[in-house]
This record gives sequence, C-alpha cells and structure tokens, in this order.
Amino acid sequence: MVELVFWFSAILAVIFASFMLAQSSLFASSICLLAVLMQAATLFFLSGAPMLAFVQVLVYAGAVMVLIVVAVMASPGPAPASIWSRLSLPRPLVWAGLILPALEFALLLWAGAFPGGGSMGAALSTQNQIGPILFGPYALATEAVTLLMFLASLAVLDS
Amino acid sequence: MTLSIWGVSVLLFLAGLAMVVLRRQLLAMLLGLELMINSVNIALVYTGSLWADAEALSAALLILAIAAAEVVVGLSLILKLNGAGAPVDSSGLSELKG
Repeated sequence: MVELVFWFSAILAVIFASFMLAQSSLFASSICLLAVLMQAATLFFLSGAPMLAFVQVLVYAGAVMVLIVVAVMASPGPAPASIWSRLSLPRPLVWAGLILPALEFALLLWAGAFPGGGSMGAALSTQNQIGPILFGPYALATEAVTLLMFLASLAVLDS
Repeated sequence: MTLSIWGVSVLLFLAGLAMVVLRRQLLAMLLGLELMINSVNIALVYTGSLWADAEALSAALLILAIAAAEVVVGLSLILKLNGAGAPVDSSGLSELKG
C-alpha cells in the first residue's frame, strides 16, 4: 500500500511540475505548484515525518500559496511567451491535483499503514527531539530565522 | 525507495531550474525557486527520517521557514516593481541603479 501511494504521489508531483513549467498563465502555474506542494506533503508523510507534512500543508500550501495567488491577481498580466502559450490546464486536472492528496492520506489512514519502516510512535519520538534541538544547539539559527521572518513582515508592510 | 525519492527530488529540482531559466516573468521565476527549495526538502526529510536524525528534520523545518520568508520578500519586491511601473519581465531588469 505504501509503495503504491508513493509511486502515485511521486508521478503526480512530477506531472504537475512539468505542467507548471509548460503553462503560460501564472495562475495555472500557481495551481500546479499547489498540487506539487500537496504531493510533497504526502511524500513527507510517507517518509515518516507526519509533523513536517502537517507544517508543509499549513505553511506552504496554505499561507504561502495564498500570498502567491494574491500577488498574481494584483500584478498586471503580460502577453504570454511564444512557445509555452498553447497549453491550457483542463479543469478536471486541477480538481484531481487538489483532491488526490487528500485521498492518498485517507487511503493510508484507512489501511493503517504507516510508512518510514517504523510505527507512528517511533516517528513522533524522533520529531519530539526537534524542539530541544531548535532551541538548544541551533538556537542562534532559529533566532536568525525568526529575525528574517520579522524583516519579511516589515517588507510587506512597506509595500 | 531511496533511489526513487532522490530521483523524484532531482526531477522536481530540474523542473524548477528550467522554470527559472526559461521563463521571463518574475513571478514564474519565484515559483520555480520555490519548487527547487521544496525538492531539496523532500530529499532532506526522507534522509533524516531514514536515519532517525532529528537534526536533519530541524534543518528541514528551518528551510520551510526561510522559504516562506523568501516568498514574502520576493513578492513584496515584485509588487513594488509593478507599482513603480517597472517591467514585470526579467529581461528589462538588467541594470542596477546607483
């Protein structure tokens, strides 16, 4: 089951990445990126990192993609480039890209299959060490990233 | 599965790189950059989980945060350029001011 979902997810990620490259419309490219990010979250889960999969969906597929779509809507659309402009994204494909990751998660949970070669408890015990590491030996890096995010919010306020 | 994950990661990275190199729109280049960062994160998370290395997972979390901040800075720069009437095409932004 895990292998099946892995191959399904990997192939979908590559397909949507190639669609993202081929689309001239920025909005279609953003939707394709969203599908790739959701599949990446599935790959995180399949690797045995459920917390990072959750963060990926929450931060990347949620907050960052909303920002990108708003920026695409706010920016003037240039004329599409020549050779990439003939493809368009079929609407069922968009729905498939957004719904299939949820189906993959549901399938894994229904089958009770937890990937990564171990149990959910083992994976969570590894991830429980992330907090002490981030605020222990990597505290300086964590503070630097926090400062970077603060400066990024100032950049948004300025624009 | 290890080679497959790395293969997927390389393919996604190449797609992102092609997007940065081939597309001229600034927003499209930013999307390609995001794809590249995400592909690296896939390989990092898998390798960290394979060896039960919490430090690698912490690094992946930091990369997620840095990528989010980078998107915010990039988008605000692009919107500022749009507001100033500058071209949204990267070919028109070949010179520094000053």
